[in-house]
Amino acid sequence: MSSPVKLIGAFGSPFVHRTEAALRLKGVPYEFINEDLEKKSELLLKHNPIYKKVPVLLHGDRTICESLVIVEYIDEAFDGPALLPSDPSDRAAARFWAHFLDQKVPLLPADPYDRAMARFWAHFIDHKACAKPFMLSMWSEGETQKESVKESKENLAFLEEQLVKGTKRFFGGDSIGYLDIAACGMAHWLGVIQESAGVSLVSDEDEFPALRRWAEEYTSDDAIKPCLPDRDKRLTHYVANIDKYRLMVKAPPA
Amino acid sequence: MPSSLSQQPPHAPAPVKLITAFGSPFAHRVEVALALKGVPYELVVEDLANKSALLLQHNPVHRSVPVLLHGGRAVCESLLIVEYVDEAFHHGAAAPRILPADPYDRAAAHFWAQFIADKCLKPLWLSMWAGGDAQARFARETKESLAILDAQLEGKKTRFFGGDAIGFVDLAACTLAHWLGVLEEVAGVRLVGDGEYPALRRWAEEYTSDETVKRFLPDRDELVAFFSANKERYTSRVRASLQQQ
Repeated sequence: MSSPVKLIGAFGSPFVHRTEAALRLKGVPYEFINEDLEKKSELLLKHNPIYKKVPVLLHGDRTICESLVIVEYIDEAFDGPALLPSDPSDRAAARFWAHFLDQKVPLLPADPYDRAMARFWAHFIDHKACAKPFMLSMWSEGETQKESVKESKENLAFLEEQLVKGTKRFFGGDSIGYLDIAACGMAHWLGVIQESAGVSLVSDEDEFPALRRWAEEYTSDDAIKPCLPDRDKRLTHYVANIDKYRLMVKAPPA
Repeated sequence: MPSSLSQQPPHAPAPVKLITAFGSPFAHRVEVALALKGVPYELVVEDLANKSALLLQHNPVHRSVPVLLHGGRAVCESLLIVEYVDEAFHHGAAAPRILPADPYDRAAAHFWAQFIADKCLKPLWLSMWAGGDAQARFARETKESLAILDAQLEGKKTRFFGGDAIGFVDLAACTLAHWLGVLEEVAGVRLVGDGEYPALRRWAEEYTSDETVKRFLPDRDELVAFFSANKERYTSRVRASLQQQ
């Protein structure tokens, strides 16, 4: 697959980060097109008319939207050497070297059950752990906020359990995989958002030790680091926009 | 213990159980998938008002059906189960595929299934029970999404979302084929006007007449009775969740 790859993204977005992380881990060169989300381009609106959001992957004449769908696509479309030799023994050699050089590391596990589990927890993160309960815990008040903090901690506990169960460095095992990428928000954005809102979900040194260790491992990885937005800049951004977020959680869904 | 159990051939595949509940479109998706892949299974029917220890043990996060038990391991979330069934029971290159083989087509299938779940089914459910201004808002959102799906089908000109055979997106959309009319009737909320979404209506007809699908469609009158009996519960739950902002 030698068609050019372009990624329409925006600075700071954990969803965009997921797709950059996947491209980097697979060793796929790409052009990053930065989008001003206050003033969306024709390119973005043309390629993502339904959601009008980033990230959007353009691969040749193909368009893929929704960060986790993109991550899976990247995992499958850039799976092996671009052209397999036709002689079977050459193919065997090609596969040996690809494996030996650790190119094209699969992001999703090979086993169907492990794949189902990775998808399940990624889904849990997007619909529960990093969704409404999390936002309410950061930006609402009173009883709602208290309940949401409780629920958010329960969600984090589920994820902590997943890490502890396998005594693994990453959700994916010894190397970063699909679920680690899906969970990136917790590795790099959670701390910043907590700090900006003055709310602690992960405060105590004793709380969620496996998640803390994992976050450290994830954010120090050489493939990941270059596509993590600067922490201080993120903090400034979240502090500056806090009133907007507080209003957002009060308003009914648009 | 019957002697047949102690004489299982060593290569016998691990048994499959499906924890289900009457009327669930989510469980329906999995049953169709298992049938398409030719996988025998045992049904365990739950009373959702009185959840079993088995269910709570195997789905502690969501406590919902369906749950697939395969060789002692549990897979939850209906579309994830469908994908698991597609992958784990794929025997031979000629076996029917629920998700397409090509990565781009797979990405498209995942995208549309997610769109249907988040932008159609979620507001659809809320529009049935929310009442007041919220009801109008969710109805509008649902209709916009139905129009998008209708346009997708119109453009494809195939019998189903994935082509000429039932696939992942059709299963994702099954609620629209068989449950939508039931919900409209029970809730007294009409989303689909006369003549609206012709391609979607045609697809619904194709879907519900399919030989495999038909076996797993709950009886319409029983569905009406079931949802009517639970109407109060849905209404109070939905309204409570919308209050909590």
